[in-house]
Amino acid sequence: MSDATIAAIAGGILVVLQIIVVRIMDWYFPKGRMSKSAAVNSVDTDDDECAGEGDHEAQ
Amino acid sequence: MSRTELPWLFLGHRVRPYSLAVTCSTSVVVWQLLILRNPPGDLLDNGVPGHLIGAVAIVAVLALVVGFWRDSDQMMQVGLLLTSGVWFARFVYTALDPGIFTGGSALLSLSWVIASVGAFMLEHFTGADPVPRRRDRV
Repeated sequence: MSDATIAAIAGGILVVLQIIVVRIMDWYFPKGRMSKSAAVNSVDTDDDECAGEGDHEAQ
Repeated sequence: MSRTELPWLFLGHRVRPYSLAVTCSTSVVVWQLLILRNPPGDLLDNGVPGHLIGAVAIVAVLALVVGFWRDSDQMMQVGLLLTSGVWFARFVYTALDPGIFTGGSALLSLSWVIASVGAFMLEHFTGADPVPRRRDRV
């Protein structure tokens, strides 16, 4: 097996390993992932910005 | 939890700085492997493995561009995942090459691997749905 083939296979192995790790983490820590509602609440909490945006939409 | 996007838009779409950077750098890999056919070292010159890595690199770049254009987290994750594989392959073939000028190139490739793996994990585990674009344009 040539070094070039080893390089190509190594890249593929890394991709597969990442997929396996992600699957295991999703399975092992199902609540570790950020929920959509939590994400929305954490992104936009500025009351002033919301009020300004509402005024802008009204115009 | 922090987001991976910049707070402003480019061409009406959210910009992820690392995804933009790795798109540019992976495009260089495509250029070297498939167009110039002269990557660092001598291992992949005009060989099937080089074409295979180049093809995966094209798919990765396309996935990142489509992910940017469609604001798709899924496509971004696929692109980042594939770029990590492309850069790891580049790291291996530059590290195995006996040439004395490829060591620095190998370490740079390894740095891109670390960044791509980290960005993929970050997108997967903390990525939230993008803020609605129409609302942002107002």
